Parts: sequence; structure tokens; C-alpha cells
Amino acid sequence: MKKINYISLLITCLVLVVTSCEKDNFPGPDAQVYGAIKDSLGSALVEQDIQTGSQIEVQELGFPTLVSQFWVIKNNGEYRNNLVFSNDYDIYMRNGNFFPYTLKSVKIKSGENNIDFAVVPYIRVKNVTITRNTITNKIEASFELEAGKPVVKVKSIQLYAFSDIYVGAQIKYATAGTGFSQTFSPTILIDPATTYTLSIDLAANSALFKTGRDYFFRVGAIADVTGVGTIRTNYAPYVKISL
Amino acid sequence: MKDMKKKIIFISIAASLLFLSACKKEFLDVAPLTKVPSTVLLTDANGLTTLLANLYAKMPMEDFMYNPGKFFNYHRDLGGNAFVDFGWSTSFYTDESNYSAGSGAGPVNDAYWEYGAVTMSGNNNISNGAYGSIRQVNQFLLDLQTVNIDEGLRKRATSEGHFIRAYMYFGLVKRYGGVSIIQVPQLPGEDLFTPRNTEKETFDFILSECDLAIENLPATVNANDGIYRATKWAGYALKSRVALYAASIAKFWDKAPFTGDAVDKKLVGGMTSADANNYYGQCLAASSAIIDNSGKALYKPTPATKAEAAKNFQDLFQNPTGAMEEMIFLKAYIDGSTTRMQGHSYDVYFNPSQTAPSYSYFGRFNPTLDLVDLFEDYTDDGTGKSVPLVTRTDGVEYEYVANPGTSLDLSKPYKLYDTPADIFINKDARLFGSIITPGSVWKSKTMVIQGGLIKSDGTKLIYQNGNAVGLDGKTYYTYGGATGPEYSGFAQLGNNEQGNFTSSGFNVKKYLVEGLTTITQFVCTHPYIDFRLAEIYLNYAEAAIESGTGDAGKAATYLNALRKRAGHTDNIPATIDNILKERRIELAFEGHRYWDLVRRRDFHTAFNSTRRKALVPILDLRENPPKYFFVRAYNWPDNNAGGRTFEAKSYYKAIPDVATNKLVQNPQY
Repeated sequence: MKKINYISLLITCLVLVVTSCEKDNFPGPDAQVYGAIKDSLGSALVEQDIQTGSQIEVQELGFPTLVSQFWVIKNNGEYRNNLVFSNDYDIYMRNGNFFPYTLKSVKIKSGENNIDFAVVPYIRVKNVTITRNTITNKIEASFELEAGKPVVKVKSIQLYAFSDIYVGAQIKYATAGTGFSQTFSPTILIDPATTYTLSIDLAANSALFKTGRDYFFRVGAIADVTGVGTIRTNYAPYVKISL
Repeated sequence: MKDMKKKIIFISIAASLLFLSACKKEFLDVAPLTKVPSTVLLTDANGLTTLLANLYAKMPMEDFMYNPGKFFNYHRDLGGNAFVDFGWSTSFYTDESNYSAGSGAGPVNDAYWEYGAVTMSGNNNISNGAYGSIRQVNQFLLDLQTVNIDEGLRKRATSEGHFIRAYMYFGLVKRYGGVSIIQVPQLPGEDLFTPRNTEKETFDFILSECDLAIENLPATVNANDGIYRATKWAGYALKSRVALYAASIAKFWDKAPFTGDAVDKKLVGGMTSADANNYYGQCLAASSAIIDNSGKALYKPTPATKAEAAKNFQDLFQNPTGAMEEMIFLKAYIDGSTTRMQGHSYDVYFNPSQTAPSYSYFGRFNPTLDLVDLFEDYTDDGTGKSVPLVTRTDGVEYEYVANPGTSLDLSKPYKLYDTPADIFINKDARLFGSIITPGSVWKSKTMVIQGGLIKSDGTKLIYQNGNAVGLDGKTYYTYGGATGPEYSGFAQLGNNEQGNFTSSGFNVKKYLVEGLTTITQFVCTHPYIDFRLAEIYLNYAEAAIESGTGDAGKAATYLNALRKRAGHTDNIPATIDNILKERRIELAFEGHRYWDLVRRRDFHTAFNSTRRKALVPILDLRENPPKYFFVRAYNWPDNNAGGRTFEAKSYYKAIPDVATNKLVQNPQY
């Protein structure tokens, strides 16, 4: 008798356990968004910083208070977010390294969505060569700058070095010596005919650079534009050099 | 068995009926017997001061028990990871000092909005946020209007309420920009969603609150009444500080501009140069009121010798109540070993290793070489320019070694000194009043701060334990002594728990009490100086020069009065550079530098992958007798972290919970 009681109690509990868990959660993210930040002129990818770089600011519509989400962009200018809810969104492209603009009520449907952004970068870093000069024992970079719009001035330029591809204004070696950066104070209008040169003295940085390893170099320029919020560095693609 | 079942059913039904019928509407509306309503409390003078003391305690003061990465009034005593949490300062986030084991560059993360400025009790947060405290002040001010008390008391207490409320809103506007101004206690059912006011409206409100505070605060307070209560001059001092802050935001906002909703609505920024001049004007007026009418004066303004000047400056901070002529507003402490959750631990965490307290963590407050270099030299050219320490014979004082432990180049022409103290000869007396330097004497001990040695054969032994025999046959140790208690610098770099040795080459002296011998957690009771006359002098000078109004002659007089108190005999011109440099020196470690970098929008340029500097004394055993040279280096933690960066968006912190409180979020959050 006792056994039957225990068994019936157990069965009751099991029935309760099984039936009580109704699946009442909200559905999860069902959309994936991917694309790239492209130069509206020539559609080259606009290089970014993965850490504290430009971000895609989106606000999901349909809530009484809109809250911003920030989507990170890869160094090469591509991005992907696989955990998005399908809905209408406002997209703010601001506080980056290109002229800001806003896209209102963008529909993101369930499944894959490809959204590319055509932007006007503040500065285009062009005709870059970064090479190792074995005679001077320096990494030497030469490049030209082009303003995205005539109002753009340049505040500073720098040659960044690091041990992986994420090299940039945030992820870099603190190189010693001079010549690896130049600051313009006051800032100057950009002359596309000027060729700039920067260099990192390998001898002065022997603690950082070891023979036989690969290093990554990227040239960056910071613009001076008024009324656009925070301005981040514009880059040319990185160059890998084996020392 | 059947009867039993019946009984159970009957009892259950009866109990349910009883339960349902018991809930009459007024059932819970009984006045609690353990609490006194504020309207009753306020009719009694002692009750009034009790309530006031509670409100004073909720002011967001960045004092000795403020941890910018944790909370205000932080006394949580639960052990665990909290072993160093009671010894922190906003100074560690700036270029004037670093935490021995490493500290970044802001932003403050003190949860002021969420938790207010009240003591944590154990792990339980007993505060209800900044607005919870503001609500209490609002209730206090409302009750004061109707309660039956002496008119003089009512007026004074009302002004104190406005002073405290101004202080609270200043705590908010510094961190979040414009915030919702709420002046009456809101009731449930009202629309609680008060939108944010503009940044300008918020500053204007705080300044008008200061005026209401000044109106009925007494000019003097006596010991009987409590010397730590606010006076009229505390009201003016707060106004001077707030107005200078507002003026700076108005003037320098464009150095780190933002875009977005909060900007469009002027919740942050949106002030004009006319606003800047208006605020500078208010700062000048409030500062003048104190300087001209308060009777306050600098403590011992004309020292006979430089040594006396250094001693006077040290005394100013180890015994503020002995220098009341300069003090405007102080915070007192009572011994935490007898009254739980009280007292502070400044002398515990910040004494150098050689005078370590009976506690495992010390030596944590390390002034930077950046700051030490700023101090003037008595033999300089008289323009007021800073004079860097002389470490080399070729005049190159701008080269820094990334890590002396691995990359020191001995071919550089380092200047040799007989003792570690010699390099500081002729430096401004305030250096010795504020900072424990290598070779100086502290608590009767010569401070041994040494980063390593060069063996007689030229081998380097730096940033690592070891010893070597000199040409004189004696044994010398890398850190200047055989064991920890014999030295104070550079050991255990990178070890957070053992970070008891300076990583910058210096330890703080300001506010440490030299005569204090028994030092354990929470026993320190020397007061914190919130406002003193020197700040008001410098506020006036900065406002006068930045605005081009005010009296430039007075600005120079005030600037040079501070220098003369430090043993200088010449006068320097009141340029903005000189005033800002003087501010960094005179007010170092007093909690100003962080907010100066914020309000003048210099933080994101000062900290852009920046490594703060250290001075590393090295013993050279190639000489007989051995001599010292000094290496300019990046401090170990900053260099190891690849530099420190202040992100521009951190000038304003994120408003918490915007999805619920429906407030407009700050830019880039």
C-alpha cells in the first residue's frame, strides 16, 4: 500500500513537472544582418578600429523609450550581427570616421539581411607604401591624403605598428623615437598633392621588434571637422612585414 | 481517518474566511512606533541636528572614504577582494599619481545615480540613490516651512538644506550633464517621469541654490554648534567651484564635441561664450566675497625658511583644524574601531613600506614624475616655468625608458649624485610638504626608494631582487635593503596584492599624519578638507584670466601669495599656464585634478595611450664610493598596459535604466 502511495505521488509530481513547463519565453533573435562600410566614391571598404572605433548605432522601434544598441565593425570595414530581432530600426551612422547620416525605419526581416553603408570618409589615405629600409633600419611609409569634403582639415597622422592585424590607434606598440607621427597645430587643409612620409626606427625599438617575426603596420590620419561629434581615425589597409 | 479529513477541510475553510475578512482597509495604516515623523523630529533642536547630520552624510563628497571605482562612503568590511578598496582616490585616474599596482584613466564609476552617497552596510545597500537623497532634502525643506520652531533655526536649517541640495545636484551634473530638477517630494500617482533639464538649467539651478544657502547661513560656527557645519563662506565656496566648472564646460565643450538627441535638446552642452562669461563672472563674485569679507587668510603665509615652508604645508593637511584661518569646509570622522562604519584608512594604505602600518596593504598612492617635474626651482628664471629634474648632463630631459629592467642604455650621459636626495635640492617647498621623495626623512627614517643597481663590472640588476659587492667591499641590494621593511620602492611590480612599493619613485605625504603610530583599518580621524582658501584664490585667478574680466592684478597677487607661502620671494606673471600649473601643485591629491581635466576637456588628449612617468633611482657600483643616477622611465603598470586612454564619451556617463525612467540617454551610450 505504502509503495503504491509513493509511486502515485512520484507519478503526480512527474506529471506536474512535465505539464507545468509551458514554453512561454519570447522568441529569440531571428535575423542576421551583415554588410560593409563602403566609400561612396569607388566603393572601397572604409577601414576601422575594432576597439573604440566607429560603430553602427541602431534603435529598435516600437518601444516607448528607444534604447541604442551599438554594432561593432571589423577592422576592414565589414560587420555582421547574427542575433538581431526582425523589426523596424532607425540606424545612426555617427561618431565614426566618416560624415554622419541617419537611416529611418529600416526594415530588418527574419533571416539574412545585407545592408551596406555608402559613406563619405573624412579622409582617404591613398597610394600607401610601407617598406623596410635595411640601410636606415627603419620601417618607412609614404602616402597621400584626400579630403572627403573640402572642409576637412587634418589634425595628425601616424604610422602604427603591432603584432597582429588589429593594428591601429587603439591597438599599437608605444614606439619610441621620432618620425612615426606628425601633429598639425593648427590643423591644416588637405592638399592631395602632398606626399607624407613617416618612419619607425627599428634600432630605437629593438625591445618591440624581433627578427623572424611578422609585424603589421597601418597608416592613420585624424580629421578636424566641426559639428560631427567624435572623430575617429581614417586608415589605409594594413601591411604585413616580416623582420 | 475520515474524521481527520473532514476536520482538515473545515479548518482550511475557516482559516480562508478569516483571512479574507481580516483585510480591512486601515489595517496596515498604523503609525510605526519605532519611527519619529520628521514633523515631530523637527520641533526639537536636537532632532533637527540629527536629521541634518544624516543629510550632510549623504553629500557626494570625494573624501578619504570615496572609492571612484566603487561607492561613496565606502566602508564595506566583508574581506574578499575588498582588501584595498578603502584606499583609493580620483587622483589615481589622472596624471598626478598612479595606484602602485596600476590604475587607468577614468571615468569614475561610483554608482552615484544608483546608490547615492551613503554608507554600504555589509553587502546590503541601504541607500536609494542620488534622487532618494534629494527627495529627503526636499521633504526636509517642505517640513521646515510648516513646523513650529524658532525662526532663526528655521532659516539656518533651510539654507543648510539648499547647500546640501546644491552639492548633490553638482555631483549629478558633473557626471551626467543636465538632469531632472526635482524640488518637491513626489508622491505615488503623480507623473514621476520628470524629463531631464538642460545642462545650463541644471547649473543655473545649482547656483541659485547656492544663493539660497548663502542667504541665511551664519558667518561663523563655534565648537559648541559644530565647526563642521556649513557657513556662508562654504556656500560661496561651492558657488565659486560650480561657476568655474560651468564656465569651463561652456568655454571648452567644443574640444570634445558630441552629436545626438541629448545634444539637440541641450541636455549636454549647448552653452555659449556669453554663458561662459556669465559663469566666470559669478565665480569672480563668489570668490571675491570670500576673499574680501570672510576674514579667511592663508595659514602661515610668510615662512622664514624653505624648510619651514615645507613643514607648514605638511601641517596644513595633517592637522587642518589647527589651520582654521584657511579652512572653509571640512568633513570630520570618528574612530571606526569603536563606531562601526566610521573612520577612514588613509594612513593605512598610503604609508610607505618602511613605515608600514600593522596591515598587509600599504604604499599604494604614488605621485608621478609628471607632477614632480612641474614644481618650480628656487633658482629658476623667474617666469614661473616648471623646471624638470636634472637626470642627464646633456640636457635631454624628454627621453623615457619603456622598461629600465630590460632596456636601459648606460651609454647615455646620466648625471651622478652622491645621495638620492641631492636631485631635489632647490625644488619648491611644497614638493616636500606633499610628496615623500627618495632620500627624504619620514617618521625619522630615510626613505629608501631604489629601482636597481649597476654592478662594478657594468652588469645591470634592475627591477629584480639581488645584491652585489661594491668596489668598497660592501654588499648592496637592488632595492636598497635586504628585506621589504628596509625599502619602499619598485619591488613586486605587477603584483596587485603585494603592490606595497611605489612604482613611480614617490609616495604621497599630503594628508598623512607623521605622528600617528597606531594605524589599523578605519582608525584615522583627521578631517578631509573640502574647501580651503587656496582653491578660491586659484578659482578667482583662472576665472579672471580666462574671461578677460575681473582684476588681473588681483589674480597675480593671489597666485604669488600661494608661492610666497611656499618660500618663493619673486613674483611670476598670472598667465593661464602659470595659474593652471600652480593649481596642479598647490591642490595636488586633493581631488581637483580629475575634474579639472574633465571640465577643461583636456582628459582625452592628456590620456591617449599615455604612459605616466616614473623616476627610477639607480645605484652605480662602478663608482667608489657608489653614486646614484636617475632614470626617467614610464611607470611599470602603464607601460605594461600599453598606455592609458580616456575615451571622449566618458566626459558624460551613461544615464542608468533609460528604458524604465524614460530619460534621454547621453551621447554614444
